[in-house]
Amino acid sequence: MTAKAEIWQGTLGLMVLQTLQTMGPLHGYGIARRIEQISGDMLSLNYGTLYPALLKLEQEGFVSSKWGTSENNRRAKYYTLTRAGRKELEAKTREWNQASGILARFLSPDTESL
Amino acid sequence: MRALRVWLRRVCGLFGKERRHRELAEEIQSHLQMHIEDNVRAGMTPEEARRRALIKFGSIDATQESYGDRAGVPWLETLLQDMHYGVHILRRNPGITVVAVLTLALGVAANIAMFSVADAVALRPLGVDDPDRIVRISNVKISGGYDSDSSSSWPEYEAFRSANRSLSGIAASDRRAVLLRHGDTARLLLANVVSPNYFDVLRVRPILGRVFGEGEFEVPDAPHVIMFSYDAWQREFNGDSRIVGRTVIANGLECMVIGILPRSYRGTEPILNPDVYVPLSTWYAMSSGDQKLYESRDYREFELFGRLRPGATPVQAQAQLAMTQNQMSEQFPKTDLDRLITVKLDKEQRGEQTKRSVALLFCITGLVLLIACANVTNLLLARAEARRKEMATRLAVGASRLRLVRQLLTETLLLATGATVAAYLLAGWVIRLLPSLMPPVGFPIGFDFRLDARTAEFAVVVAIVTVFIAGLVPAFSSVRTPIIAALREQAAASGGRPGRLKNVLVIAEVATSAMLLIAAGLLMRTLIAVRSQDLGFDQARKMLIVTFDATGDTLTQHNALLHRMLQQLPAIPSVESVALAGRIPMWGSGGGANKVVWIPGLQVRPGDDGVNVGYTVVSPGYFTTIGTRIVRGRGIEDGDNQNSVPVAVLNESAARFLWPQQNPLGKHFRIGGPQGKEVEVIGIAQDGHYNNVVEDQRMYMFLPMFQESYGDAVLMISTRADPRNIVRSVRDRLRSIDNNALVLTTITMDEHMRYALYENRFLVQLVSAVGLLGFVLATVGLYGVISYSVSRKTHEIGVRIALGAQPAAVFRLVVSRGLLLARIGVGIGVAGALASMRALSSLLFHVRPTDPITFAVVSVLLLGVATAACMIPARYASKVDPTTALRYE
Repeated sequence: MTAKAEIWQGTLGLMVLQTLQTMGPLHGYGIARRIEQISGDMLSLNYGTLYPALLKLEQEGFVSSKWGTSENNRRAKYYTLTRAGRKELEAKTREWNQASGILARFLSPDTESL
Repeated sequence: MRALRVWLRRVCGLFGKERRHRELAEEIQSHLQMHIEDNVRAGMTPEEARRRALIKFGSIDATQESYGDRAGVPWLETLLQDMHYGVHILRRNPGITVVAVLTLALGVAANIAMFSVADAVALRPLGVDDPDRIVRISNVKISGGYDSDSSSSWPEYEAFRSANRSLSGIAASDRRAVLLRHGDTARLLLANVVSPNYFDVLRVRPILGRVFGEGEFEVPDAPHVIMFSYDAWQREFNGDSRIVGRTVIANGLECMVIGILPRSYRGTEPILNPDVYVPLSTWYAMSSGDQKLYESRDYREFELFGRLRPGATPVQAQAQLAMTQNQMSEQFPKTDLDRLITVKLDKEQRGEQTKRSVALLFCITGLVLLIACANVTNLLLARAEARRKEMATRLAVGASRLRLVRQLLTETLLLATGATVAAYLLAGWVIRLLPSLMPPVGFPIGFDFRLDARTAEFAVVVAIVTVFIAGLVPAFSSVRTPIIAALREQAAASGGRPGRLKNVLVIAEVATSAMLLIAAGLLMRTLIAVRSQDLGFDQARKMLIVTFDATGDTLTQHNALLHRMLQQLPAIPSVESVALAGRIPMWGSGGGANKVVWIPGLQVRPGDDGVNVGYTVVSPGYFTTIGTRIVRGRGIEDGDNQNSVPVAVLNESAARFLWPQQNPLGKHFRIGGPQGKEVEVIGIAQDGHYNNVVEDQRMYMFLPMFQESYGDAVLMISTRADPRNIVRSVRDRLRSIDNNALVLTTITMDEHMRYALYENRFLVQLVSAVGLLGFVLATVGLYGVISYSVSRKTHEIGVRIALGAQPAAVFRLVVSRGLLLARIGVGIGVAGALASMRALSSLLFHVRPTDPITFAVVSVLLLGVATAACMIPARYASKVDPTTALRYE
């Protein structure tokens, strides 16, 4: 199997929300690095594609943004999870777990049906 | 909800684009810096760190583009951008823009005005609640004859009401006149005598007071009530709201005003707006004679309306009523035999009646719009030529053709929007003029022309259609340019197709306006022919026609009153002669009354008792007063009264039909059938026109007024001087003859004839106006094409002049090219007119549809103006300076 899978739009949004949930307010670069780390370099994304996704989340009201200063005293735009974003993340996570649970059972070799 | 919020944000995102762009750039910058710093910290050289960061980020352009698309609404942005650019382009060519907008505005205005007319005349639904469920019940005698009216009698109405299941109610109404007293004066008002449930069925809400309803007249001594229309309330009472609850005197009876109807309710006929609504019981109190009349089975004057129950269809309603009619025809064969009941939706019925004339009018204005569109197409084509290089450049750098077509159509849309706004103002002005074209008769006749939401909707549709008709061809032809050739500026030589298209359009314009002008010419010649024609009476006579209210209590008293008028009115200075008649020729639009005439041996259709002959009652002196020649025998004289033998004067057609090749004088006929009253023929009057100027010869007779029971009479007074001068004297004299006598209306013969020809004149004015409009537009179009071709051929003309061509020859060359187009156009138009003008023949009188004079005048006029239009560019061409022209290369 290919180690580095392509990622698609919907999941990218979900990953962003999850990242902000665990890390708190973070700038675009930080989010990108974090997603790459967590996926254990199995996932390669052009960092540039992150920004339209962030804009979409912001338009939907799931994140809000504010200019701030980074740890290295650099100006950066910080994204924060909103209340609506937190709810959305919960709902999506539940859906995702259900779906992957079903798939996992379906695909695991020790199922009765096999 | 969330989706809506996203859209809102995106639309807001259309603004502040600059700032957002800067912010994103800054964000990307800070992103890259952080990445580079991290990379350096990881041990890379600054160059390597920077390279890696950039690779990892991906295309910055792509990010910005998809970010921008996401932030705003791309297609809306494109549209705004196109509009912005379009406005810029249109402002750069103000001449073309103004001409195009004005041209389109004229064409669109004609259509808006026409729609407003058609809406008022035929299309607009009744001003009631849920008008789509209103049906009209028509009741027609199957064996036809003249009695083709569709009204019902009161007994029939009551039978229908009790039998009906499919309609939630049936209402009846009859048009009558009511005399409203205002102290010393009186006004004649148009009244609708209606069944008590009239407003329950139609569902009209009053703006003041209340409407009367079903139950309130069932009690004995119910109060006498009356309702006013909005217009009558304004006119008679200056819109005073205190009138509700007061009493007025109508036809001598005190009635309480219980309510005022809304402005939007104008009765059930588009042309008549009744002033007052009187319930039947009140009407009986006003004119006691009518109760017996209304209760008779063959007095069919009520129009019937119904409202469909939910789920019911007109067909079901018709089946039930037809069954009722069948039973009645068995029970009352004398009056109710052979009648056909039909139930139709009101909107469909009105559509049917006027479908053809509305279609004709829309064809005419549609043609004008097409001419206007053709002009604009030509202008745009010319401009497209000038912009070939621009288009080619844009195509060469990668713009899609579709994108360019969209850009060009957006420009046309801007033109059409401007034109529609201008047209709307213009149409509003035209519509304000329309009522002044209506005959100012005593009754509230006239349509309710207005611009409202319906006309606005129509205007938008017209504008959109215009954009596609006028804009599509130029848009596509300008992007079909071969890029390389256009860039090399060889375009001038290769643009064959659009040139030919422009010629075809101009030819079509000239042909169309030729047809319209020929139609206008024929109608105009008809009008002239009518005015100089012998209509069977002297239409040029100085005469005052007076309607009056004076009634004796008994027939003897009434006749004595009329006799006193005939004796005393000639004493007024400058009066030549005086007469009375039941109706005068061309009176109103109705057909006039008929009687059945029978003679032994007359061949008639089975079931008929004789032939129908139109008639009127006249007093002695009628023929000399109105100027009708008696060809044989004598006219009606003083001796023809109730004590003498019944006599009649026939017109030539009637005499010829009844007694061909015999002397009709002294012959007898019977009125009403073999058992009817016997009448002796004492004179033959010249044939004439009785109902309208274009009718065929018809049989007519004149009966002595004082041998008939009394009805309405009109006073005719011929004078030596201006008849208007005697109005006061007539008024006073009538008062002195009878204290209660009142003059209602006075008009002169000249005015009467103008009203009688109103329809013909209206048509002439309309068709001429539209024809002239088309003609002006076609001339502008021709001018545009010729001057454009001159400007494109400046180079060629320069070469010719440099090689020794005389300016006069160049002038002739240009004019002859324009004239060729005009000649082809006129030729096609004349051929089209020859083929199609027969459709007009029912409106023509003493003019053949192929009238050579009209055709010749229109052709010469068109070619003359076309020549003039070509002369301006031709003069310019003949003055081309070869050195300047050749320097263009």
